[in-house]
Amino acid sequence: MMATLYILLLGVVLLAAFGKRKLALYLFAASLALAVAIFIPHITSELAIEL
Amino acid sequence: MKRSFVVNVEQLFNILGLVGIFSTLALALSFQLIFKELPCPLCLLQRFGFLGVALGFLLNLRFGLRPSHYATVQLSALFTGFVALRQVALHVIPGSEGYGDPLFGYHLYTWSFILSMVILIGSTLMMGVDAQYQRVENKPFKASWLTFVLFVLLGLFVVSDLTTVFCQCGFGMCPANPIAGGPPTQCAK
Repeated sequence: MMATLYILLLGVVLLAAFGKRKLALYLFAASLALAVAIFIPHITSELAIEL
Repeated sequence: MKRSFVVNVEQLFNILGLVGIFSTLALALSFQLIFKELPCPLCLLQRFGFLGVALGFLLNLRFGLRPSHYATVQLSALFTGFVALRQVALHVIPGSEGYGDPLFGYHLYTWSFILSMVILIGSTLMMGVDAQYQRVENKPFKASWLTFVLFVLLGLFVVSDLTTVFCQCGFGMCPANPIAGGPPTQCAK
């Protein structure tokens, strides 16, 4: 999961470097969504323990 | 105030922001390589957030100043702040030693939270200056060699983090608490 996240980010950097601004922004939005998806279990698992 | 002056000041702040982010990432990398402190999953997510902030600043230099680029910075800083605050909350219990060695009295994730809040406030103030968006000439930063060098640096940071992630986690989930000083799981062979 985390490796996929960084591969996506590398794609974003390459797209931006080669002038594809909009594509880079869309891909970054997707990678940020993936990062949030990775982060959510870190909160919910702790909440589940406390509940 | 002249628009060209405003644009120059904004671009200077973007460069300073990039220098700050690259210094932070280099510091995190040096902690990992010199002190053998393997980054935890939350640390890796914070690094991702900082790379997103750097990307936003760099987009401003490459394509000209735009609100969507500042939005990239702000969303990334907000994400980093949430993750850092989560890690602070994990270690806030009295007696908890925290993760890794402290720097100037605070752990790296505490600095990460402080820095992300500073970035968030700073980028909001930068975004709020209307004069930079006037449709006269929204040209990219003149020194294209500098943006090229900055893009190469950003790419190198992403590749170094990708290598770390692959060594530590492969393509699966990262271990919750990697042992400091222990051999990386994939690349030790």
